[in-house]
Amino acid sequence: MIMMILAVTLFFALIGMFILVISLSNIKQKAAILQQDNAKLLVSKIADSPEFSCGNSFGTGMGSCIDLDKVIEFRNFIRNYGNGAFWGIQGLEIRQIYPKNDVECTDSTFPNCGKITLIPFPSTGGTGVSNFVSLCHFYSSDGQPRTRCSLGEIIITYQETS
Amino acid sequence: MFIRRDNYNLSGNIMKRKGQEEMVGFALILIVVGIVVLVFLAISLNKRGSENINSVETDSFVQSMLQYTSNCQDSFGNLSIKDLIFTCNSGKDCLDGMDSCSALNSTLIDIMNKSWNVGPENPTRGYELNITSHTKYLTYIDRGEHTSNSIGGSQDFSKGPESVIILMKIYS
Repeated sequence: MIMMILAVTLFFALIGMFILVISLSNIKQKAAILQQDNAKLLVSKIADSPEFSCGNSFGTGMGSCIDLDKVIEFRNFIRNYGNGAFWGIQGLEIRQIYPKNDVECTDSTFPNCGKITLIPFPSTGGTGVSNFVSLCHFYSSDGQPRTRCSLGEIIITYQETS
Repeated sequence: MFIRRDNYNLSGNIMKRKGQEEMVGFALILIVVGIVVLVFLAISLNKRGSENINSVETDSFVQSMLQYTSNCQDSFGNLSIKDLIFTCNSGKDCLDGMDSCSALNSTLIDIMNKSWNVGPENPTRGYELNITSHTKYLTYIDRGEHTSNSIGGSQDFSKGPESVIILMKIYS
């Protein structure tokens, strides 16, 4: 009788462990996605900082929006931010995805360009993460100020702390 | 003496029979629990098969896509995708006579193709973009294969009495 009770108890314990393994098997995947989301939130935090964000310049306050007119001038002041140390990053680049344009932005090529390298990616490597943003700037048409927004991405490189 | 031996044999048989009954009962318990566990596993694995996780990346993509300046113009200038959606919903055309819904569809197809590199050996295996208003389907873009792993983004917004919902899924 006692042996049977012990056997049943052991059996239910094995079943319970089996169920626990199955239910926790998805935790690694969820943790990986959470880590990716945290990295992308870091990118969004930089994109939404006053040095980059559109704010209310282009109508109602838009999220995930980078003011290219601001950024093209900000290139000259990036040294004051410790070349990225202010945000804890080693590399920072903004690229236009649609319409595609690989021309590097300078004072002469802007706004007909699609790539702004604010902090070159380090040769020692690092972890890169990007997120989608809207790239907006003003232009003049028939003497009227107009806005144009394209789809782009902001890419940062940072050193992971182990 | 003869009778005592018989009594001894009889009680031994009874003990053996009781032991057998307990083993049969134990086996029945095992079978019932095994069936319950299998049913539970089947239900939980089926649910997990269609898990869609909301993602920062897709939310950012939808937000950024809505701000894109299209080639469709009205009297005030070029329309953003967000404004173009409402123009399509109200059945109006672009200033140059182009159908606003066609302009919306073709622009979104281009944007999705350039933004998400779809392929059987790529991280992105497929995508799905669905834009609906409360009265009709405005656009539906589907490319690649639908797998059981997906990340999603959604946005709903309104302009006056019109409301629009955007649902996006990226399959990996």
